[in-house]
Amino acid sequence: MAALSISRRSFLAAGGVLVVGLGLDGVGRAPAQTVAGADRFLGKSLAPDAVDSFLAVHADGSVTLFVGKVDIGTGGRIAMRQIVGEELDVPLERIAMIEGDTALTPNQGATAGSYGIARGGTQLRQAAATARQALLAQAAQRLGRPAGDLQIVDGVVRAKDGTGAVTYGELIGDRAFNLKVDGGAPLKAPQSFRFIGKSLPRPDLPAKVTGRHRYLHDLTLPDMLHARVIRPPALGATLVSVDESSVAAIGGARVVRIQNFLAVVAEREWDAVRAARALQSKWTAGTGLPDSTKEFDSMRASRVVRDQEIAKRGDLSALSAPAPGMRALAASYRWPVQTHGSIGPSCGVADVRADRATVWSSSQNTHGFQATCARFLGLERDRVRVIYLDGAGSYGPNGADDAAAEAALLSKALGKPVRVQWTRQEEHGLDPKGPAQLLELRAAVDADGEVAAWETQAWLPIATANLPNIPLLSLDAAGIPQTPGRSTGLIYQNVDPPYTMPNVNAVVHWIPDAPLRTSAIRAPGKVANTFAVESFVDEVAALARVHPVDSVSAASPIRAASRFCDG
Amino acid sequence: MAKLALRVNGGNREIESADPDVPLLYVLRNDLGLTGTHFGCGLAQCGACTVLVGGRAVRSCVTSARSVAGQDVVTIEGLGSPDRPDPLQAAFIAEQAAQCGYCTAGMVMTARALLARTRRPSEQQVRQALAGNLCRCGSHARVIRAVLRAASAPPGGR
Repeated sequence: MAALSISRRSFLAAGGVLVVGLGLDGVGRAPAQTVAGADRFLGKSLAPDAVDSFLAVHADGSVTLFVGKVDIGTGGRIAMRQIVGEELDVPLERIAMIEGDTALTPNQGATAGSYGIARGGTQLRQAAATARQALLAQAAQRLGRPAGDLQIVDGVVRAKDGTGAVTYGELIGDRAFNLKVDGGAPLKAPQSFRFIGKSLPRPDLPAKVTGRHRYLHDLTLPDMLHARVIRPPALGATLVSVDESSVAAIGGARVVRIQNFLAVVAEREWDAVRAARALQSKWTAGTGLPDSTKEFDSMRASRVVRDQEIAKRGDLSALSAPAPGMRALAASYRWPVQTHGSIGPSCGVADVRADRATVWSSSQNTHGFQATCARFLGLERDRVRVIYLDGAGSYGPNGADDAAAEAALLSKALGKPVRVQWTRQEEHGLDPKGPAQLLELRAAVDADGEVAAWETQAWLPIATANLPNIPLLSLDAAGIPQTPGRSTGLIYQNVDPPYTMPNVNAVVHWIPDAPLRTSAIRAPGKVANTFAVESFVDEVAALARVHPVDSVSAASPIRAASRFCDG
Repeated sequence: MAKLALRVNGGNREIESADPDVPLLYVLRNDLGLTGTHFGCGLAQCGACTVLVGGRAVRSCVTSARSVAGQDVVTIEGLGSPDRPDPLQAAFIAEQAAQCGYCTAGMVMTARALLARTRRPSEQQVRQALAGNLCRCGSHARVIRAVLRAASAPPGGR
């Protein structure tokens, strides 16, 4: 770690502080997401097990959090403050938060799978509890009293009998804790919670509602060029020729071509838009899209890589040989590809120099993307800094990584900071898609209305193990090697019914291909599977002549399982 | 270079553009630094870029800056500030009516135009007025509550 820190410091010394267009807003207040002067923390610990990686307590008693999980619009920005404010006993308005900055925040993994609070928050909580324990011990020494005689109120450690007090700022003010996170540091008892469990207003909303919140899309850098990428007219099309004279009339517009990666840049954004529209380019016909009307037939007929048994219990013979009086039911559910469809098309900004790079992205996985950028830029990982800024909401990996990678490629080629703004057409057409899912369900219902047997079969595209990044459009176009593969998210979840049924078979047939790039899309428990299973429960209940809601109550044919209670 | 004289948020502004047909959105964001107005589609389909022109809600991505010269343009920044939100913005904050917030400025401006012409709209009228403002996160129910909250506030609050 020491070597890493030194190299990070020299990186800073070489780079100095980059002035970006994210300063104070018109009323002199820092936007909630960004922390003015955040770069003063450069060189701090990033170790996953160090208290200093997660938080700093300043001389004035305020606290800065360093959080690897980012707030994509779902409230992590207040929730993380609640968690730490609780354990440290610090009012939430004294807590600032830096998110998803590879130079400042520890790698807590991607913000995904609804694990932001459950995993990221609990790491932060334990770090805060460790800090509290240390501050209490220091205060005991300072005040000459046993810790048991002290209490903490709003960042001040006081003797319960009122004979002495010392503030967090006086105890630690801006110095490092130099402590490992202690898994045994006591956590606050739920009955004494002040902040956790309350629905508190999000700190970013006043700026968002008044147009002062600075999104990634609003970031500008000195000498920054605006870029638009020119896409092939069909999948698999390659670039034959470009007529650069077609944009000559647009002052300052330039064409950049790296093999099949084609873009226009201009100092003014509207000129880049005009140049993108005016540029004449010839492409091969390409392969185009597969026939969407045959998509599910193809999935059904596909080679299966392997079967995964999700649930198998009891006697399934009623499915193939129903006893007299039993009724059989079957249905198939087709879930087409879904675009993430973020309301603001993806944007990326990059400043790539010979020996280092800074990339601003709304990526849900800045640390993972840092490694990807380092690979394709040919830099050491610690020479690349990826900084999260809010984009329009994302629900899994959308075009954010692509746009940022395109900005980085162009910045490297041009030697200037570059901002890439995707169009609506690009976001809808080219973002990695939530994959198509095909489910076939069967059930046998006996004369009493009980489900005698249930079967779910799902045909789902398989994810590539340990895929470092969803393959990026621009790297393929520019002929830069990358790991091929597919990301699909936790699409196997909830193919089995969450109800008490004695005889169940739920199996996923993993198939190797999908027609478009895929990625995880909200929600992790998979809307498609739950839709199929619950719709089929309704069908079964109709057959058994019971109301579907009653049917999952304790006294009815399909009994609510204890699974949700038992975990 | 075409010179354009605009009146934005009560102030006179002059900008230059190589293209006389530059959309208002790009002038607001890039020339005037009013980045609260957002690019969502460029096709007048999503509402993220909505501003007021002469009190009417207009899609700035398909409105040329030239066409609004001499008229009063109001952007989200022209209503209130984080410390002093206008009553409609305050209602959005009270209802926590945003997730990512990218569509929110357009929602507020569209609702502002609605409330200017219909002081106490029904829920149906609010839904109708905001039908062309898309949100992908799922803030709709809170947005409708926020507009109704602002509409039910006592008059005189502006």
